[in-house]
Amino acid sequence: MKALVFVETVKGKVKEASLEAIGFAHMVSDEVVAVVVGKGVEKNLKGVKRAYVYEDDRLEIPLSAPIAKVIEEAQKKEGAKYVILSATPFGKELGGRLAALFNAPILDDFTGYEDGLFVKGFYSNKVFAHIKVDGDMVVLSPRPKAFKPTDDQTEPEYVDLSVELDDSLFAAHPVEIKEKSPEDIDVTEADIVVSGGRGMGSAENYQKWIPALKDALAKATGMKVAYGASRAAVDAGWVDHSHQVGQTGKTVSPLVYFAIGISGAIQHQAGMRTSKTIIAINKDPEAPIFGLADYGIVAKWEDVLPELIEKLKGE
Amino acid sequence: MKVLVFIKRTPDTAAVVKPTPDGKDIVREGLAFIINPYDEFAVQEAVNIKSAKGGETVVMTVGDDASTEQLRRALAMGIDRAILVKHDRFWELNPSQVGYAIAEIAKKENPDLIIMGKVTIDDYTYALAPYVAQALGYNLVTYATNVEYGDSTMKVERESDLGKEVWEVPYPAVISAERGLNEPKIPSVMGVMKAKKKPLDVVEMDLPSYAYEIVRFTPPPPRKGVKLLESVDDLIRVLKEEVKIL
Repeated sequence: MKALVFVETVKGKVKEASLEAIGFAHMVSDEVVAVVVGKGVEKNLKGVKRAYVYEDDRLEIPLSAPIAKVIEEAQKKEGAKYVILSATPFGKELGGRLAALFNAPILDDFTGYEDGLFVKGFYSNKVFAHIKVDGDMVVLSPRPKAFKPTDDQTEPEYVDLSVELDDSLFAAHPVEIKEKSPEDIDVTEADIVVSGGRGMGSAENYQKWIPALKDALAKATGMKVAYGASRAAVDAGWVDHSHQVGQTGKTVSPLVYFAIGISGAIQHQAGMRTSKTIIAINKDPEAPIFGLADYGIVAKWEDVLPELIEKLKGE
Repeated sequence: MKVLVFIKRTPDTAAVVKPTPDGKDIVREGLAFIINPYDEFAVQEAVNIKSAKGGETVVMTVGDDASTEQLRRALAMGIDRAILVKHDRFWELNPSQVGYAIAEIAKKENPDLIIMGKVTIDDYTYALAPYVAQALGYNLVTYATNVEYGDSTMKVERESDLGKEVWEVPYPAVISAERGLNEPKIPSVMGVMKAKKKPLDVVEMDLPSYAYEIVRFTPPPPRKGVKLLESVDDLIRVLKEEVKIL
């Protein structure tokens, strides 16, 4: 069975999450082809037999209406059973379009594949659904970080794709982008998430110590580290809601999740319980977060963070 | 301006959700249900648009009889009328089936704007708004945090993984609401009274069928239990030897 993977690029650079999507594609398919869209795109794919390339100055950053059309053209040539794309913020948007375009069922933002069933957190990860989905065509978008890139070293044959994209497909478009700094990594795409909550006490505390720990961890590990927050911290205005982890925020599954001054209400747990390792620092030994954490320190954050940051600098 | 809002009945965010003994469903008895929190932003946005610009607002859902509770609440918040696309086990539908139903209603209603939440907190799909935009050929903007409604276009602020973006979006369009779009208001007693008399149409619809089945629900994989650490040195050791990130 064949899989067609959409490879997301921003300013030509292939997203790590798309390599994971290729890795996932190998779990369900014996033939993996790809379509890469953007401007000046990198040609560094592995584990793909054929890669269609569509270059367009108007798609330096991805737009879902025209890209859906490009994928339709690639699919006309390939007739793949699975159309696969990573559930990045953009991928989640594009996936919905593809489902409508191809009249196909969709499973978006799932995290596992076991015994022929897809595993996805429902009801904010309070339960896990094991799902069978089939058909002539199926749209699948695995959550970033849930699957690994493939070991398959096959280099693709690159094929230029020509598509006529009508201007109307670009009618809705960004007129201004205030780019965040490259260090401001989205919580859903980070290897490590450092989150602070109500227990941090004030905006000053949060804004000083959470980024400080984030930077120290980034230096010490070389990994992608993002800072997150509980709803209480967001509602108090300490940090932008794009950093909120939880039921009405983002759902994350990093390698390591630090919960600092976060009691761990069920709504917060919903957003982070699939993290590989959870480390909680809270002065209240009864805080629900300790029921979920793998490691905990029962202490005031003030007694832990400065020393931790200092010691990480020595690593 | 005519605005169509899609909402979904979902368990309350604080609800404890558990699989039934046979794993085929979740225990629904005793659960409190709400309007999907992101859809609530969509309802409030439509109400705000109407009070600023006039026009008509319509709320719809795909749901069972009990979903009228959420439709009535949206009416109490200030929406003009409601449509229930009836499906007794709507929580088992694939997003493509729900998206199809929204698009079909939109074809009849012909709104300038369709608003819904960015995600449903039950089956956690982000696919509905883009599905509907694609099916109708409407413009689309997802994850909207602020919108200024002009005569022929909107100016939409949104957040992407790139940063903060401002989009220009001509009507007709679909918006998916992100937290921050507005502050949903609790309906007034007067609103609740009025809602009882507002029209609520029940529609039967054949949906496309897909080989999509939730075979079983399981509780989240148990975590191994907490190991309490006594010092920062202990934590550094754990990060090195057990978590292996240093």
